[in-house]
Amino acid sequence: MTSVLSAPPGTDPVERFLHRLAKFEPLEAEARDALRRAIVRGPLVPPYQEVHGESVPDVVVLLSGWACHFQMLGNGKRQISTLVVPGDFADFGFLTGSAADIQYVTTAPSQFGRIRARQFSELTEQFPSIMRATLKAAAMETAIGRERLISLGLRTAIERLAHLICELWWRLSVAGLVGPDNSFHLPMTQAELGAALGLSTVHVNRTLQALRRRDIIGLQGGKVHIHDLKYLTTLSSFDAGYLTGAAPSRAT
Amino acid sequence: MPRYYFDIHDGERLAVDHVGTELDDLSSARDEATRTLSEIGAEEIPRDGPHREFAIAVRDDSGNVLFELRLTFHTRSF
Repeated sequence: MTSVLSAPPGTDPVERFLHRLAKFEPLEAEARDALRRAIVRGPLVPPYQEVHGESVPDVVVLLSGWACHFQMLGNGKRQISTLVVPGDFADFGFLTGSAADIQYVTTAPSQFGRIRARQFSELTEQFPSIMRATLKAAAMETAIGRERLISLGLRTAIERLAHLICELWWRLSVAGLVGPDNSFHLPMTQAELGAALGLSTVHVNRTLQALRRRDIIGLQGGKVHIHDLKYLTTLSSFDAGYLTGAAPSRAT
Repeated sequence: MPRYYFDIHDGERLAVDHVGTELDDLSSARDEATRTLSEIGAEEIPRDGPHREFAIAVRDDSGNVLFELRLTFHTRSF
Protein backbone atom coordinates (compact mmCIF):
# COMPACT_ATOMS: atom_id res chain seq x y z
CA MET A 1 0.00 0.00 0.00
CA THR A 2 1.27 3.43 -0.87
CA SER A 3 0.40 6.38 1.30
CA VAL A 4 0.25 9.90 -0.03
CA LEU A 5 3.47 10.60 1.78
CA SER A 6 5.50 7.64 0.70
CA ALA A 7 8.74 8.38 -1.07
CA PRO A 8 8.65 9.76 -4.60
CA PRO A 9 9.11 7.10 -7.28
CA GLY A 10 12.59 5.69 -7.08
CA THR A 11 13.17 6.92 -3.55
CA ASP A 12 13.06 4.27 -0.90
CA PRO A 13 11.98 5.70 2.49
CA VAL A 14 15.07 4.26 4.18
CA GLU A 15 17.22 5.97 1.54
CA ARG A 16 15.35 9.18 2.26
CA PHE A 17 16.22 8.87 5.95
CA LEU A 18 19.88 8.22 5.10
CA HIS A 19 19.88 11.13 2.67
CA ARG A 20 18.47 13.43 5.35
CA LEU A 21 20.87 12.20 8.01
CA ALA A 22 23.81 12.70 5.68
CA LYS A 23 22.76 16.34 5.21
CA PHE A 24 23.64 16.90 8.86
CA GLU A 25 27.02 15.22 8.58
CA PRO A 26 28.60 13.36 5.66
CA LEU A 27 28.28 9.61 6.18
CA GLU A 28 30.77 7.13 4.75
CA ALA A 29 29.40 4.50 2.39
CA GLU A 30 30.15 1.85 5.04
CA ALA A 31 28.19 3.80 7.66
CA ARG A 32 25.23 4.07 5.31
CA ASP A 33 25.41 0.36 4.57
CA ALA A 34 25.51 -0.48 8.25
CA LEU A 35 22.48 1.73 8.95
CA ARG A 36 20.64 0.28 5.98
CA ARG A 37 21.17 -3.22 7.37
CA ALA A 38 20.24 -2.24 10.91
CA ILE A 39 16.90 -0.56 10.19
CA VAL A 40 13.92 -2.84 10.59
CA ARG A 41 10.91 -1.60 8.68
CA GLY A 42 7.71 -1.69 10.71
CA PRO A 43 4.17 -2.33 9.48
CA LEU A 44 2.01 0.44 8.04
CA VAL A 45 0.36 2.16 10.98
CA PRO A 46 -3.08 3.74 10.47
CA PRO A 47 -3.75 7.39 11.29
CA TYR A 48 -4.57 8.29 14.88
CA GLN A 49 -2.50 5.55 16.39
CA GLU A 50 -0.90 6.70 19.61
CA VAL A 51 2.67 5.70 20.30
CA HIS A 52 4.06 5.86 23.81
CA GLY A 53 7.68 5.98 24.82
CA GLU A 54 9.42 2.82 25.97
CA SER A 55 11.46 2.33 29.10
CA VAL A 56 14.38 1.09 27.00
CA PRO A 57 13.95 3.20 23.91
CA ASP A 58 15.10 2.01 20.51
CA VAL A 59 15.96 4.42 17.74
CA VAL A 60 12.72 5.03 15.86
CA VAL A 61 12.59 6.82 12.54
CA LEU A 62 9.51 7.99 10.63
CA LEU A 63 9.95 6.47 7.18
CA SER A 64 6.70 7.75 5.71
CA GLY A 65 3.55 9.41 6.97
CA TRP A 66 3.28 12.06 9.66
CA ALA A 67 3.33 12.18 13.45
CA CYS A 68 2.82 14.78 16.17
CA HIS A 69 4.18 14.77 19.69
CA PHE A 70 1.54 15.96 22.11
CA GLN A 71 0.81 16.46 25.73
CA MET A 72 -2.58 16.52 27.36
CA LEU A 73 -3.14 18.54 30.51
CA GLY A 74 -5.46 17.47 33.31
CA ASN A 75 -8.17 19.77 31.93
CA GLY A 76 -8.22 17.87 28.64
CA LYS A 77 -6.43 20.59 26.67
CA ARG A 78 -3.85 19.32 24.26
CA GLN A 79 -0.68 20.93 22.93
CA ILE A 80 1.11 19.51 19.93
CA SER A 81 4.78 20.22 20.53
CA THR A 82 6.68 18.58 17.69
CA LEU A 83 5.84 17.69 14.11
CA VAL A 84 7.64 14.61 12.81
CA VAL A 85 7.98 14.46 9.02
CA PRO A 86 9.30 11.58 6.89
CA GLY A 87 13.02 11.06 7.35
CA ASP A 88 12.98 12.44 10.92
CA PHE A 89 13.83 10.58 14.07
CA ALA A 90 10.46 10.02 15.75
CA ASP A 91 11.98 11.21 19.03
CA PHE A 92 15.36 11.46 20.70
CA GLY A 93 14.56 9.55 23.87
CA PHE A 94 17.18 7.01 22.86
CA LEU A 95 19.93 9.57 23.48
CA THR A 96 19.09 9.83 27.17
CA GLY A 97 17.34 6.51 27.66
CA SER A 98 14.34 8.39 29.02
CA ALA A 99 11.62 8.20 26.43
CA ALA A 100 8.89 6.98 28.77
CA ASP A 101 7.24 10.41 28.94
CA ILE A 102 7.13 10.83 25.17
CA GLN A 103 3.90 10.25 23.32
CA TYR A 104 2.98 10.93 19.76
CA VAL A 105 0.16 10.24 17.37
CA THR A 106 0.18 9.49 13.65
CA THR A 107 -2.02 11.79 11.56
CA ALA A 108 -1.54 9.85 8.30
CA PRO A 109 -0.86 6.24 7.37
CA SER A 110 2.70 5.92 8.58
CA GLN A 111 5.62 3.56 8.59
CA PHE A 112 8.32 3.58 11.24
CA GLY A 113 11.76 2.09 11.06
CA ARG A 114 13.54 0.82 14.13
CA ILE A 115 17.13 0.23 15.14
CA ARG A 116 17.68 -1.68 18.38
CA ALA A 117 19.21 0.57 21.05
CA ARG A 118 22.23 -1.68 21.55
CA GLN A 119 22.89 -2.07 17.86
CA PHE A 120 22.71 1.70 17.38
CA SER A 121 25.20 2.20 20.15
CA GLU A 122 27.59 -0.25 18.48
CA LEU A 123 27.11 1.51 15.15
CA THR A 124 27.95 4.90 16.60
CA GLU A 125 31.11 3.50 18.15
CA GLN A 126 32.15 2.09 14.84
CA PHE A 127 31.10 5.18 12.87
CA PRO A 128 31.32 8.39 14.94
CA SER A 129 29.86 10.27 11.95
CA ILE A 130 26.51 8.60 12.69
CA MET A 131 26.51 10.00 16.21
CA ARG A 132 27.56 13.45 15.01
CA ALA A 133 24.74 13.47 12.45
CA THR A 134 22.25 12.26 15.07
CA LEU A 135 23.27 14.94 17.55
CA LYS A 136 22.90 17.60 14.87
CA ALA A 137 19.42 16.28 14.08
CA ALA A 138 18.58 16.48 17.80
CA ALA A 139 19.97 20.01 17.96
CA MET A 140 17.77 20.96 15.03
CA GLU A 141 14.71 19.60 16.81
CA THR A 142 15.58 21.74 19.81
CA ALA A 143 15.98 24.77 17.56
CA ILE A 144 12.61 24.06 15.97
CA GLY A 145 11.09 23.94 19.45
CA ARG A 146 12.71 27.26 20.30
CA GLU A 147 11.26 28.85 17.17
CA ARG A 148 7.83 27.47 18.06
CA LEU A 149 8.18 29.01 21.52
CA ILE A 150 8.92 32.35 19.89
CA SER A 151 5.88 31.92 17.67
CA LEU A 152 3.61 31.19 20.61
CA GLY A 153 5.00 34.09 22.60
CA LEU A 154 5.39 36.79 20.01
CA ARG A 155 3.81 36.00 16.66
CA THR A 156 0.24 36.71 15.63
CA ALA A 157 -1.99 33.98 14.26
CA ILE A 158 -1.14 34.70 10.63
CA GLU A 159 2.57 34.98 11.43
CA ARG A 160 2.53 31.67 13.32
CA LEU A 161 0.85 29.88 10.47
CA ALA A 162 3.11 31.50 7.86
CA HIS A 163 6.17 30.53 9.87
CA LEU A 164 5.05 26.94 10.19
CA ILE A 165 4.34 26.71 6.47
CA CYS A 166 7.82 28.08 5.65
CA GLU A 167 9.43 25.66 8.08
CA LEU A 168 7.56 22.66 6.68
CA TRP A 169 8.40 23.76 3.16
CA TRP A 170 12.12 23.69 4.03
CA ARG A 171 12.02 20.45 5.96
CA LEU A 172 9.94 18.64 3.36
CA SER A 173 12.09 20.01 0.54
CA VAL A 174 15.11 18.33 2.06
CA ALA A 175 13.14 15.09 2.30
CA GLY A 176 12.21 15.43 -1.38
CA LEU A 177 8.54 15.82 -0.54
CA VAL A 178 7.81 19.18 -2.12
CA GLY A 179 6.35 18.89 -5.59
CA PRO A 180 7.58 20.85 -8.62
CA ASP A 181 4.49 23.05 -8.25
CA ASN A 182 5.74 24.04 -4.77
CA SER A 183 3.13 21.97 -3.01
CA PHE A 184 3.26 19.47 -0.18
CA HIS A 185 0.85 17.24 1.69
CA LEU A 186 -0.03 18.51 5.12
CA PRO A 187 -1.94 15.69 6.81
CA MET A 188 -3.10 17.71 9.80
CA THR A 189 -6.61 18.94 10.53
CA GLN A 190 -7.23 22.56 11.38
CA ALA A 191 -7.83 21.45 14.97
CA GLU A 192 -4.37 19.83 15.00
CA LEU A 193 -2.76 22.92 13.50
CA GLY A 194 -4.52 24.89 16.22
CA ALA A 195 -3.17 22.53 18.89
CA ALA A 196 0.33 23.09 17.52
CA LEU A 197 0.02 26.87 17.21
CA GLY A 198 -2.06 27.71 20.27
CA LEU A 199 -5.04 28.82 18.19
CA SER A 200 -8.67 27.79 18.07
CA THR A 201 -9.78 25.72 15.09
CA VAL A 202 -11.92 28.58 13.85
CA HIS A 203 -9.00 30.99 14.13
CA VAL A 204 -6.82 28.62 12.07
CA ASN A 205 -9.59 28.39 9.48
CA ARG A 206 -9.99 32.18 9.34
CA THR A 207 -6.23 32.64 9.00
CA LEU A 208 -5.83 30.03 6.28
CA GLN A 209 -8.70 31.62 4.36
CA ALA A 210 -7.04 35.02 4.69
CA LEU A 211 -3.79 33.66 3.16
CA ARG A 212 -5.78 31.93 0.48
CA ARG A 213 -7.84 35.05 -0.36
CA ARG A 214 -4.63 37.01 -0.89
CA ASP A 215 -3.40 34.17 -3.08
CA ILE A 216 -0.37 33.56 -0.88
CA ILE A 217 -1.21 29.89 -0.58
CA GLY A 218 -3.67 27.45 -2.14
CA LEU A 219 -5.30 24.60 -0.28
CA GLN A 220 -6.66 21.57 -2.00
CA GLY A 221 -7.23 18.00 -0.93
CA GLY A 222 -4.90 18.15 2.08
CA LYS A 223 -2.21 19.83 -0.01
CA VAL A 224 -0.68 23.23 0.55
CA HIS A 225 0.41 25.06 -2.59
CA ILE A 226 2.79 27.90 -1.91
CA HIS A 227 2.25 30.75 -4.33
CA ASP A 228 4.30 33.41 -2.58
CA LEU A 229 7.03 32.02 -0.35
CA LYS A 230 8.71 35.39 -0.10
CA TYR A 231 5.56 36.94 1.35
CA LEU A 232 5.28 34.16 3.94
CA THR A 233 8.97 34.47 4.82
CA THR A 234 8.81 38.23 5.29
CA LEU A 235 5.49 38.17 7.14
CA SER A 236 6.73 35.67 9.72
CA SER A 237 10.38 36.81 9.91
CA PHE A 238 11.34 33.31 8.91
CA ASP A 239 15.07 32.67 8.79
CA ALA A 240 15.95 29.10 7.83
CA GLY A 241 19.28 29.33 9.66
CA TYR A 242 17.96 27.20 12.52
CA LEU A 243 17.19 24.33 10.16
CA THR A 244 20.67 22.80 10.08
CA GLY A 245 21.31 20.48 7.23
CA ALA A 246 18.34 21.85 5.38
CA ALA A 247 19.32 23.40 2.10
CA PRO A 248 16.69 23.10 -0.58
CA SER A 249 17.93 24.08 -3.97
CA ARG A 250 14.73 25.83 -4.92
CA ALA A 251 14.46 28.75 -2.51
CA THR A 252 12.10 30.88 -4.56
CA MET B 1 -20.70 16.29 12.66
CA PRO B 2 -22.59 19.49 11.91
CA ARG B 3 -20.82 22.33 10.16
CA TYR B 4 -20.87 25.81 11.62
CA TYR B 5 -19.96 29.07 9.90
CA PHE B 6 -18.23 31.82 11.82
CA ASP B 7 -18.61 35.30 10.36
CA ILE B 8 -16.07 37.51 12.04
CA HIS B 9 -16.17 41.30 12.27
CA ASP B 10 -12.89 42.74 13.46
CA GLY B 11 -14.20 46.29 13.85
CA GLU B 12 -13.25 47.30 10.34
CA ARG B 13 -14.22 44.49 8.11
CA LEU B 14 -16.61 41.57 8.03
CA ALA B 15 -15.09 38.28 6.94
CA VAL B 16 -17.87 35.97 5.87
CA ASP B 17 -17.02 32.31 6.42
CA HIS B 18 -17.83 30.32 3.30
CA VAL B 19 -15.94 27.22 4.39
CA GLY B 20 -17.19 26.49 7.88
CA THR B 21 -15.84 24.19 10.55
CA GLU B 22 -17.16 20.79 11.59
CA LEU B 23 -17.78 20.61 15.32
CA ASP B 24 -19.51 18.22 17.71
CA ASP B 25 -22.46 20.40 18.66
CA LEU B 26 -23.71 23.89 19.44
CA SER B 27 -21.86 23.95 22.73
CA SER B 28 -18.53 23.24 20.97
CA ALA B 29 -19.38 25.97 18.46
CA ARG B 30 -19.91 28.40 21.32
CA ASP B 31 -16.59 27.40 22.93
CA GLU B 32 -14.79 27.80 19.61
CA ALA B 33 -16.36 31.20 18.96
CA THR B 34 -15.53 32.39 22.47
CA ARG B 35 -11.92 31.29 22.22
CA THR B 36 -11.54 32.75 18.74
CA LEU B 37 -12.99 36.10 19.79
CA SER B 38 -10.64 36.31 22.77
CA GLU B 39 -7.64 35.35 20.58
CA ILE B 40 -8.53 38.00 18.03
CA GLY B 41 -9.04 40.55 20.79
CA ALA B 42 -5.69 39.70 22.39
CA GLU B 43 -3.99 40.15 19.05
CA GLU B 44 -5.80 43.21 17.73
CA ILE B 45 -6.48 45.36 20.79
CA PRO B 46 -2.84 46.26 21.58
CA ARG B 47 -2.28 47.11 17.93
CA ASP B 48 -4.58 49.99 17.34
CA GLY B 49 -6.92 52.51 18.84
CA PRO B 50 -8.65 53.11 22.18
CA HIS B 51 -11.99 51.76 21.01
CA ARG B 52 -12.46 48.46 19.27
CA GLU B 53 -15.33 46.16 18.73
CA PHE B 54 -15.21 42.58 17.53
CA ALA B 55 -18.08 40.23 16.87
CA ILE B 56 -18.68 36.71 15.71
CA ALA B 57 -21.98 35.49 14.32
CA VAL B 58 -22.36 31.74 14.03
CA ARG B 59 -24.56 30.23 11.34
CA ASP B 60 -25.65 26.68 10.67
CA ASP B 61 -25.70 24.91 7.31
CA SER B 62 -29.03 26.46 6.35
CA GLY B 63 -27.79 29.98 7.03
CA ASN B 64 -29.69 30.54 10.28
CA VAL B 65 -27.79 32.68 12.74
CA LEU B 66 -27.55 30.61 15.91
CA PHE B 67 -25.89 33.13 18.18
CA GLU B 68 -23.65 36.15 18.22
CA LEU B 69 -20.76 37.11 20.47
CA ARG B 70 -19.49 40.63 20.88
CA LEU B 71 -16.29 41.93 22.46
CA THR B 72 -15.90 45.63 23.17
CA PHE B 73 -12.72 47.41 24.16
CA HIS B 74 -13.27 50.87 25.47
CA THR B 75 -10.80 53.35 26.93
CA ARG B 76 -12.03 56.24 29.00
CA SER B 77 -9.66 59.05 29.97
CA PHE B 78 -10.12 61.34 32.94
